[in-house]
Amino acid sequence: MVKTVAYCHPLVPCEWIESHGLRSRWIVPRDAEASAGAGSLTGMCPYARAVVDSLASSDEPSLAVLTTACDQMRRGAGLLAEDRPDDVFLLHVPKTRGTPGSRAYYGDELRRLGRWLVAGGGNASTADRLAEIMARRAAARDAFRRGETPVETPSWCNPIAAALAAEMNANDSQGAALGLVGGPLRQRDLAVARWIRAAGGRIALDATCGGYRTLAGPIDPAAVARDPFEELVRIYFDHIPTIFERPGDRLYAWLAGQVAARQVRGLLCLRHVWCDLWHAALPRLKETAGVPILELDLGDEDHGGESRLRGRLEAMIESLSHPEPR
Amino acid sequence: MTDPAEKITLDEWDHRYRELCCRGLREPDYGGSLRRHAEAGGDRRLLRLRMDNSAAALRLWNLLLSEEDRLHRARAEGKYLVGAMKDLGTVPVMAYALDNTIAFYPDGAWWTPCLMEHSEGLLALADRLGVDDSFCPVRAMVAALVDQKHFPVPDTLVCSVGATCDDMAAIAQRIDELGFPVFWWEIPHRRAAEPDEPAVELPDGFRAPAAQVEFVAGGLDRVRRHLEAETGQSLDDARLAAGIGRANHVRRLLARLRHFAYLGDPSPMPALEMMIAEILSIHFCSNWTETVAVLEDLLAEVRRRLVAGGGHGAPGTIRIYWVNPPADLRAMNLLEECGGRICGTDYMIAHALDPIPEDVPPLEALARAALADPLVGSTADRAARICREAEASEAEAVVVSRIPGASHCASEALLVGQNVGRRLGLPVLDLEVPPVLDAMEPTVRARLEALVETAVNRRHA
Ligand code: SF4
Ligand code: SF4
Repeated sequence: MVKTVAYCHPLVPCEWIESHGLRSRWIVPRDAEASAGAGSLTGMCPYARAVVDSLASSDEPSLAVLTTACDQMRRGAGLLAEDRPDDVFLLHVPKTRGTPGSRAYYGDELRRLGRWLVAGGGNASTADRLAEIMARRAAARDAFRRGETPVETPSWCNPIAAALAAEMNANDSQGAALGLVGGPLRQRDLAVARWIRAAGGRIALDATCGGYRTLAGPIDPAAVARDPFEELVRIYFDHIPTIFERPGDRLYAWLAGQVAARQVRGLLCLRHVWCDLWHAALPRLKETAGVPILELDLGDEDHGGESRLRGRLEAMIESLSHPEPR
Repeated sequence: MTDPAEKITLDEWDHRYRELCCRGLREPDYGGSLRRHAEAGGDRRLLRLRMDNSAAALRLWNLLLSEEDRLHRARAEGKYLVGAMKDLGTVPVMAYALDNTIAFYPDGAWWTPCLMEHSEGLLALADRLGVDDSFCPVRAMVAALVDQKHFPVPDTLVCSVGATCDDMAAIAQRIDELGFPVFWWEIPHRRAAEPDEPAVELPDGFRAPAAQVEFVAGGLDRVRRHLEAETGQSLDDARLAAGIGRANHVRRLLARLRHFAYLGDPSPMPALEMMIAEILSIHFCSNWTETVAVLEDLLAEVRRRLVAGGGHGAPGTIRIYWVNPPADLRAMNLLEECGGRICGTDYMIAHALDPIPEDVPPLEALARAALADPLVGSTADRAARICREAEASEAEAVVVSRIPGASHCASEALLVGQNVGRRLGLPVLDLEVPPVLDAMEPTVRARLEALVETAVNRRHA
């Protein structure tokens, strides 16, 4: 039986996993509240915790690749490794950009991941197999970018982002166009899309982690033919604007460009409680996005805050629907 | 001066200071009565602390509390100021190898809200700057840079990212956005070497892949070139080696001080003064010469007390290993008031206490030291070191001091607790300490007393 490798970060290339003869799966975690949990973890990001709990309680024999993109997930990997040290791989994703060392380090980390996959039951990757899978995945992403909804659950993005895209495609409202930005979506977070639709708005941009923003870049077929691994590093490390990279300007510039191109009228920053990275980004987002931004703390709804969240959202959509009197 | 060891209040220090002066106390230029820090300097927390009554402790406190003045003076004298962030003990070694250069940690504003009991308004300003209390107290740093009422704005800010807490990664980015450009370098998550992969030993005894050491050394080489360009000086290997030698001198002094202070019975130096002494290691409180002098004085005092059989508390007081610096200094007093004493610590600066290797090229040596940061490795590694040290120091209980908002604390308290419980069978207290704990003092006290009582029962079981 082909083993599954679970992951949940856009800097983990599914093509690389699959080129080792393994299946890749983007984790859709059950909510932490619904699972056993690992004792008192006040202060832990609910998404990171839900991922850890899902993996820890999974009966399916699978390997997991987590990353150091944030401290919360890095430490979540540590919790998981206490019981299943051989099943968890922690990929160090360099934070610094613009230095030759960090890019090379990312490539080295992928090679190390490859060796671990082989030790875990995979086959050695070959350039031909990698190139072939890259072409297929690139085609799927291109279709997604054009607005096609994937027929099968995608392994190359957060499946919840694909579900969100289906919702976006189905919503023909002419109401205020909103963009979502922030951490990865859980199943329950799709409620935000329903609230937006109910309030007469629509989502024109998904810039959450695992959605449109973090899709690997389009491939250059000639570069793939020359050196698929190098092209893999390029479409991931060089292309994806992330919240954790330093300096952090690329994300803000990307977002401002998308807001203008898609005529987005307002942004919702979806932040899992205790996520420092997105929380601290808010002031800069407000300065650079060029449109109003509302921060929604995902997790608030657990404490009777759903109506408050909805109320804030409705107020925002209403204000965006009425142009300011001149 | 062989007076018995006592912990005294600020009021009592007024009298004690006069007494020491009458007896011919000789002080450095930053010396003087401690009261001035509370009155003119606004460090009101001193009024709630109990401090050691030795002249050595007086000098330690004065060195600590005069740092902002020292930095302003350095600025006025045209010295180059490096604001190192997060690495805790690496970049300052490089900076102090240069002439006319002072390095300090803006992160040190962490303790300002405690020392000034929030009268300075840093946390409120941080809130307004978008860095609220979901972050750890290091958020005071962003406010201190903006309001410019504390330390002078450094000429350059150099921050390590990579395997750091999210708090610092996020706040340093915010600082950059607010117009204080940050020079970034990276320390990756320390991992185990693969089979057959070359690995090197780190100062803490852990091993790291040689490739990781090389990567960090490459980043530090960028820092070196940045400092050279900024200061117009050459920072060659000979200079760096001399800087490492000076840092190691401090580390060796501290190792001796910790050895005597934490093993001596009764405890020859209180927890609070020892914590401050340990923290001198990260950037020498902006004055290497005085740091050495302060540590020598403390060491001499500790030795005197040990020889005289004196110290704080009764012999046989319950021995506690303490993890993480508490956001309120008063917590260290409370521990002792509740019947405990410190026998070992991990204040997140273990890598600034271990000597830096002197038998390898300097940048490689610094890279090895940086990779030994307990927060750069896994929590399991950190827990292993804590267990090793707690056992060696005959700890009878462990306190994991939780830092409000810190991204590492949630899982860390759990894992350290589990490991210590499993390997050593010691009671562990997971204790959150806010910057000013007064409102929670009865609870904190009750929990510390319960821990000590558990340890006493265990001892007699
Ligand atoms: S939401 Fe934030 S804290 Fe949570 S896993 Fe993502 S980046 Fe980390
Ligand atoms: S989260 Fe912890 S390591 Fe990070 S700045 Fe705060 S106290 Fe220091």
